[in-house]
Amino acid sequence: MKSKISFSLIILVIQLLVLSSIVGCSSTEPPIKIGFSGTLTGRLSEFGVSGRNGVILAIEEVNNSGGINGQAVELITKDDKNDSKVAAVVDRELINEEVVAIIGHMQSTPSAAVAALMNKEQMLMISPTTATNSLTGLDDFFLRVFPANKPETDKLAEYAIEQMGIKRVASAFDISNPTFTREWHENFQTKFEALGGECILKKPFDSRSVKSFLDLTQELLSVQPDAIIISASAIDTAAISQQLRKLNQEIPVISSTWAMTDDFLQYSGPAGEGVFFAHPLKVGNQDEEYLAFVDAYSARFGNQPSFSATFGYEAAQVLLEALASTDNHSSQALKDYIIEKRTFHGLQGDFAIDRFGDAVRDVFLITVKEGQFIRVEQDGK
Amino acid sequence: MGNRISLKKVLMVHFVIFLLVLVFILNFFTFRVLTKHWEEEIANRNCLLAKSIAGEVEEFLSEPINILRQIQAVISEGGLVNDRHLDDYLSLIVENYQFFDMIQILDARGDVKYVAPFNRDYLGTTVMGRDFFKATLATGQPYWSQTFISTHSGQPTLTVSMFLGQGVVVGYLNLGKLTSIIDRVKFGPDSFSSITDQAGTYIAHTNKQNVSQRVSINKQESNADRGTYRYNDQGREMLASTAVIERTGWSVMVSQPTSEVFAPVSKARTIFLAGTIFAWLAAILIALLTLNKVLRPVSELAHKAKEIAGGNYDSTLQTNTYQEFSGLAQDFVTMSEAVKEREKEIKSSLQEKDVLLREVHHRVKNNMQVISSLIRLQAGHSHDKIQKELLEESQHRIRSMFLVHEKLYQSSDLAKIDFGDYIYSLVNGLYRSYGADPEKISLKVDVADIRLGLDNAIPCGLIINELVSNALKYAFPQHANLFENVGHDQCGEIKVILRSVSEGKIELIVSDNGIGLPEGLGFKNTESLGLQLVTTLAEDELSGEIELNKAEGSEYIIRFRGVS
Repeated sequence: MKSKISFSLIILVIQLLVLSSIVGCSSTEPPIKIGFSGTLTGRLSEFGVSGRNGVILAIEEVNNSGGINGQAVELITKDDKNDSKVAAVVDRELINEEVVAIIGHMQSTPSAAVAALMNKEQMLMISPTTATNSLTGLDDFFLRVFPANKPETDKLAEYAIEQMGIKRVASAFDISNPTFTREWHENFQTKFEALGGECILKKPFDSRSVKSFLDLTQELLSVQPDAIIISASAIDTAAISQQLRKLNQEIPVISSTWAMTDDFLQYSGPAGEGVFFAHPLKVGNQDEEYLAFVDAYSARFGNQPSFSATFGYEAAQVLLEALASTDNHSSQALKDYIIEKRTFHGLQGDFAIDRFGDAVRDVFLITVKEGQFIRVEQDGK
Repeated sequence: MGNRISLKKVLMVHFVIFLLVLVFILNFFTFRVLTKHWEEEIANRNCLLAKSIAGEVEEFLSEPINILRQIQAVISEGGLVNDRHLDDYLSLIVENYQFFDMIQILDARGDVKYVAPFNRDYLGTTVMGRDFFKATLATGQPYWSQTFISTHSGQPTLTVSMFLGQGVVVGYLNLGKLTSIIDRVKFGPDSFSSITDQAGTYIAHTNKQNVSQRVSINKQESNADRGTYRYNDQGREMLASTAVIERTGWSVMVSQPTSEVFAPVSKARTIFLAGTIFAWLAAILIALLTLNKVLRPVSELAHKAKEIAGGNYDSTLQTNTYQEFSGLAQDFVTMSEAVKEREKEIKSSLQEKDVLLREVHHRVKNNMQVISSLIRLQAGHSHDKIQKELLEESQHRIRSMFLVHEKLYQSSDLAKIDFGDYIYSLVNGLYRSYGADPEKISLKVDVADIRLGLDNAIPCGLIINELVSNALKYAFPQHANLFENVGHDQCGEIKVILRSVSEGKIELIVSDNGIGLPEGLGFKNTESLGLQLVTTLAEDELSGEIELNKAEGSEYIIRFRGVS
């Protein structure tokens, strides 16, 4: 009887083994979650979408190379709708989803709005393109790979006065991203006026509700300025440029970094010729590494990477390097690594992140010529 | 007897393993074939669905193209006499065909000449930098652009543009119509259908957010040429079917989690699994029951055979399992009854022979007893002492033989006799015959439980008869006159011992403590008929050996092999 029971048990075990082999099972390590917050919808979304795509490309490359020490990276994207309140909500969602860090925001306004939240929650945020000076020099959890706009506005003001001989300017800025545009305008104005120039018209507008760019442009021209200063997105800067061309006005235009994307060239066409920018992007960069990135990006997304894509990729690179180099993936540990390392190798060569988490990069003077961005030589040609 | 493996275990193992393997192989291959068939069915269905969507989109796309052609025709024929008429015409089209957000007519430099709905901001601006303008001018063919953010609506938009000869007509399409086509496809909660443009950016998706946020599909994971394929989406395996919209190079994808698509297959797998387990358990149960049913009659037959071997023919045999066993059991019962009957006949026959043999022994004994009596009578009438003694000795010898026959027919088995009992009868007769006083010449008989057959019993009986007679006659001269009690103290002793020694040998010892044989007289070369007879019987009849021990009186030791 005993042997009969043991025999039946053996048969049962064989069956279970066979069945378990049929059913099968597997388990994998959970991925490292990274958050992305940016403006992904609406009129200003080009900037955020490109930035997000740059981040996606960097993460896909890491995952295709085996992940971070064998662990896959998962990107969770959120749309801040270029709204400060929404930005805080989506960032909290990301925190709740236990991301190790957030890449974003793309515009200064939402970045400035959530900086306090990041510090409170001790959540590391690395912004690809935030340029506001209001977050400069703070030992906080907000880091960035894009320099603050002060060097840029100073350079433009100096160039306007010294090289172009401009004395009177009329400026327009989009208050849908006020933290950046107001600050940018004030910085420019301060330097410009310090050098002897005069800002004779300040025209804020809201790109979300502007009725006529023709009217806006005519208002800017009505004070007969020597140049038009625009701090707005690419398509809105292009729209004003288009109206200037339409009105046959051969007037210099100086734009903020925000607009210096491929979209500006597309939307402005010949109207964008001669517009000036000061930007940390190395225009005409022929480094092999950068060209490989451009090829990979074009193959993945079907268009050329804008600067927000480039800086999005670099922000992701910094974070991924920190993740790969630290066993502890807490925000504090990641931040400490980045601050301590200071110098990073990006798509445009080395750049520094100082002890306050602010990027230190050179800024170049750029203009549009024959439908392309080109660097303006030191002699002003 | 060396093979002690249980038939039941062997049959059980073979039966169960056979069923296990058979059921497993059967289920495995059946399930593989069914799964493949189902997967093909589902893949074909999804492929058809994707193609159906692609067909619907193709049909939709022909509409704006036709309208732009119509505009192209109207302009080239000069049907509209002035700008106002053209503006009204374009506005009418935008109003009637709501998939157009805006229509622009551009000159050769890309400057906007006409726009509907009318917006003076756009008039005079240039689209020279836009890809769609460059491509249309370059190819002269209708061109579908990638998605971009419309300055008009602020939403993802794409354009279809057509060469006009002196310019380009461009229609800005909202993606709502494409979305409505996608929305008609109903799936599970985690499934989706989508349309992507040439760059892989979603222009229609079940999840609208993917369109509004201009999410791009990873083209490494998507390949329209592959038809139906599997890919991994954030750790979840998806089954995608794709179809290409030839006109634009867009891709339609129908994608479902494999867990959802193959839910029926999973259910079937569960059923198969449960069925397999059930079949296996049932197989084991059936094997146990069947083997039990097969082996029980065998066991009963074995038990019955033992009972029959033990002489019990009355127990019944349950044979209501299988036809073969019923037949076997019936034959067994018939055989059992035949054996019973034959045994009865043999017993009867044996009984008859037994009676006959007893009768034979009885008659032999009677005849020999008559001979003995006749010799005794003859001796009584003889006056010659020597003659008388010879007759008496003959009578004793005959008596020793008929006593054997007497004991045989009194014996239970007629073949062997209780030799101890025989010796007492024989020796007592001799005591009486020679008038020996047991008080003076004692008799000690020590016979083990040995039963001797006729062949051994008669020689042994004759030997004892001779040696005891000699002892009574010569060993004790103080009692020379055997028929007179002279009053001497008793001191004689005669011993008869019969015992088994080794390896089937029997030892017969007849001794006395008398005066022994006279010096110089050997028992083998004596003139005495009695001792000659003893030697002859011991060596020839019993095939044994005889020796004489003269240490104290006479002790004859005869060893012979007993015949069973």
